[in-house]
Amino acid sequence: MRRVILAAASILTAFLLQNSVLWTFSPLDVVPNLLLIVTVTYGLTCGKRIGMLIGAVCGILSDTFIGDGGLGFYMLIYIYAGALCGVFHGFIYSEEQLFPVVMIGLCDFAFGGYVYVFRFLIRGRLDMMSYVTGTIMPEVVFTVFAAILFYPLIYGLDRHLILTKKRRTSSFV
Amino acid sequence: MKKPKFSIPPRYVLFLLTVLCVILLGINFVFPTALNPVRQGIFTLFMPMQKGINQIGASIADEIESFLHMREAEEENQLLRQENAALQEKLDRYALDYQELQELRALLGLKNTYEQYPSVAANVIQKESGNWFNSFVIDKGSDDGIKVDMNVLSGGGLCGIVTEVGKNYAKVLAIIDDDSNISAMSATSKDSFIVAGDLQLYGEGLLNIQYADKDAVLAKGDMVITSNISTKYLPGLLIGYIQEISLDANNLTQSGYLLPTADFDDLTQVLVIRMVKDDLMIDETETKPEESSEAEPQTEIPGGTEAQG
Repeated sequence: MRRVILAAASILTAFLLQNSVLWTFSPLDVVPNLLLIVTVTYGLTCGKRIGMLIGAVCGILSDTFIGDGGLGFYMLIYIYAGALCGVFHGFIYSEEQLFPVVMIGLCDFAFGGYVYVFRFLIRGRLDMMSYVTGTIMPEVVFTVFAAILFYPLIYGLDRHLILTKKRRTSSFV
Repeated sequence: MKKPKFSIPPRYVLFLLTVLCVILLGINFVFPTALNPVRQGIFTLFMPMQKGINQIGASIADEIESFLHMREAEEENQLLRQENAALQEKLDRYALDYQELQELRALLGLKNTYEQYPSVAANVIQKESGNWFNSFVIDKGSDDGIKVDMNVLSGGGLCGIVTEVGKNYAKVLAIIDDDSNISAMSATSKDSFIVAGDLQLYGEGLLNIQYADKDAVLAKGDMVITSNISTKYLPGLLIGYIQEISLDANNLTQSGYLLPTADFDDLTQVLVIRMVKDDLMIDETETKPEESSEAEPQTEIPGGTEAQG
C-alpha cells in the first residue's frame, strides 16, 4: 500500500514540478521530462506490468494537460516506455546507476522523435535536424541531469519501503 | 520473475492498452469533444494543487530575482521615474485628442474599438509541460464568462486564443505555438498577411510573416495588428512589429519575421477579451441595419487563409 502511495506521490510531484515550478527556473526554456523519468524508473525496478500502469497514468495526465483534446497520444508512448523498460527489469541490480540514466536518455530521445514525427513531420515540417538539435537534444540533456537526481531518489525510497515491510506481498502486481 | 498464474501475460496487456489508445485517438478524431468531460474533471481536480505550487514557485523565484538584481533595480527605478513623468505629460495632451477622436468616431458611426471590448484579467497558472508546444492555463473559466475562441492579450499585445474552457480554468494556445495562424495586417498600409508561429523560430522570439502580397507596402518597424477578415481574432489587436520583410523567390509574395509585443518568457498576468468574433459580427448586423451591407462582406469571406491546429 505504501508503495502505491509512493508511486502516486512521485507521479504527482513530477507532474506539478514539470508544469509549474521548473519553467520559472529553467534557462533555454527547456524542461526535463520528469513524468518519463518516473515511468522508466518504475518500469526498470518493478517490471512490465507496473511500468505500463505508471506509463498509462502519466500518459493520461499528459494528454489531459498538454494534449490537443483527446486521450491516447501521450498514453501510447508512455505505456511503451514503461513496457520497454519492464523488459530490462531483470538485467539491472540495485547499485546500478548508469544503465537507468542511459535508458532514460534513450527513452526521452524516442519520445522526442515520436512527438516530432506524429505532430510536426506530418504537417510538413521537414527540417528534422533543427528540431533534433533545437528541441529534442536540450530536453534529453536536461532530462538526463534530472534523472541523475530523481532516479536514485525514487528507487531508493521504493527499496526502503520494500525492505521495511514485514511480509512480502505480491498484491501490488 | 514469478508470474501469478491467474494474470494476463504482460505482452497481452500491452496489446490491449495499445488497442485502447488507438480507439481513444480514433474517438478524438471523429468526435473531438466527446472526451472533454473526462479531461475537465481531471483538470478541475488538479487545479488547486497547480495554483498552490505555482504561487510557491513564483514567490521563491521573485525572492531570488530581487536578491540578485537589487542594484540594477534601483538604477532602473530612477530611469523609469523620469520616463514616467515625461509620459504623464504626453498622456495629458493625448487625453484631449482622444475625446475629439471619440466624438468623430461617434459621428461616423464606428463602433467597437479596442478599448471598448469588455475584458477580464487572469493569471497564468500553468505552462505547457512539454518543450514542443506552447499553451498555458489561466485561472478563469466558464464561471467568469470565458468562452472558446476568446482572444488573450499580455503586456498590450496579443498572446493567444482560448481553446478549451472548464468551470474555473481555461486553456490558451499561444500565438507562438507551431499550430497558430493569425490573419493580420499592417496598421499603416492595411495590407493583410498571415502571422504564423514556428517552433524553430521560437528560440529567437520571432513569428513568421507569410503570404503578404508582393505589392503590399510593408517595412521594418511597421506595427502589425489583427485584420478585419480574421475569423477568430477581433480586429485591431496589436500583435507586434515587423522585424524583417523581403520579396520571396517566387516574386509573388513577401515574407519575413515579426517580433511580438507580448513577453512569452514572463507570462504571469493576461487579459482575456470577453467577446468572440461572432458576437462582434452579430452586433454590427443587428444594431446597424443601414450598414448591414458593410458588415456582410465580413461574414462572407471564408476562413480559408487561417486555420487553428
